[in-house]
Amino acid sequence: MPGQATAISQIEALARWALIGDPTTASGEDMVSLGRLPNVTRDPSLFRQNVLNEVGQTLKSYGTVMDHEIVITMKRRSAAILAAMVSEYTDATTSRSMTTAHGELTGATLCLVTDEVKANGTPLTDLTTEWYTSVVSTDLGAIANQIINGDDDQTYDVTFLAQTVATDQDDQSLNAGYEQAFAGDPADAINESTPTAWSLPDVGTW
Amino acid sequence: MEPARRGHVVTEFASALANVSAEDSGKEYRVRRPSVKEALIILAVVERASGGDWDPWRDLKEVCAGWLPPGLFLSVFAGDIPRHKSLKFIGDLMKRGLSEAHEKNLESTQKKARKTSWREIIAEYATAWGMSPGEVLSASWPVFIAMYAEIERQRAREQLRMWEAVATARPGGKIDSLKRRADFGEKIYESPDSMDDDWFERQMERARSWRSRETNGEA
Repeated sequence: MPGQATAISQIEALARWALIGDPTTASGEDMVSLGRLPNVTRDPSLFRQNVLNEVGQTLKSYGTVMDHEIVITMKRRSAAILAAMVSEYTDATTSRSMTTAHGELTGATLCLVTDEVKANGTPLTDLTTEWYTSVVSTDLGAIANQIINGDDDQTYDVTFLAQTVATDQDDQSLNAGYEQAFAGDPADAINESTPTAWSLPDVGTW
Repeated sequence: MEPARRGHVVTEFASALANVSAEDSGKEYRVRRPSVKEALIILAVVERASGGDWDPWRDLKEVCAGWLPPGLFLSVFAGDIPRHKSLKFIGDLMKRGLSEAHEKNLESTQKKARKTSWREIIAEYATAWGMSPGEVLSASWPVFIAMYAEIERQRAREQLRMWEAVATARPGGKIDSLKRRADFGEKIYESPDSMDDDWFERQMERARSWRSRETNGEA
């Protein structure tokens, strides 16, 4: 008989460099760098269900990784860059404005990079680099409003949910286990007989 | 002796000093490293500590009798040798085997002991490395000096992890001070607010390009 379902959070909070956008276009031109984020929290939201026998002994357990939740804390410039990706927010250099519409970012690939990789100029294929194949955030309107109205020293928090997708942004099939989140070389994610590798930005350009 | 360099075998962990020559006969002896307890008594005598009925010279001879090989002991404490010469020999012998970096650590630890006490330093060491005070007193003196310096670096690294998790990183201030103490060296920890305008404009262009693709349905 089914037993107790438990949600297991494994939250890690560390500073990271972040890039977001489309890694499949030439030379990483569509990967936008947000710079160094002082705090990034990643919660894989593991879900476990135990199957028990009549006397309450665990027979087996099964579970899955739910949607990764990634919360990033940004300084002002990072927030301005991220907000500029959202159509509802407009930066006209001499002025900034936003519509009253909902600020949403969908379908972008998020990449989190350690200080060591950045400092050493290691490629983004390093095993410590985390990739979230497709993320969605629905609260960018809030930070856009904060950027317009806030002061220079405050920080901005945005929550992303990592979605599970079958293909990358170039419509290439993804291998099982790579559809939501993975670390290391994106070449291992693609399940095509003639794959087109993701074109990652060069060291020093992000 | 050339001081041990980072990445090379550190001499503090060797079990014994070699080639200690007796001044009168020139004979060479192999001497083990003093323990923390032996070293503290010797330091107290060298620094002319006093108190109550304590006879420093008697205690020094008792410690050295347990520490030095018999031949060397007799040579150092022979009746006709002035006490200050014996004391200098013992004091110099204690410092041998410490690398240049750890000689500095010894000075700063002694300075701290003068402000607080050796008891406090031993208690701190014992807590940091999960040892009893007795185990600390039996530990090798050069290793004690080397590892005491590590406590500060490890603490700074732990604090830094906590700060990076809950605090915002501001240029300068506590985080940079912790990074220096944690010996993280020259690494890039710039916040985007301190990166140059060219970088910012480049990223803003990319962001606008993404937005244009999304709006026009090119994604």
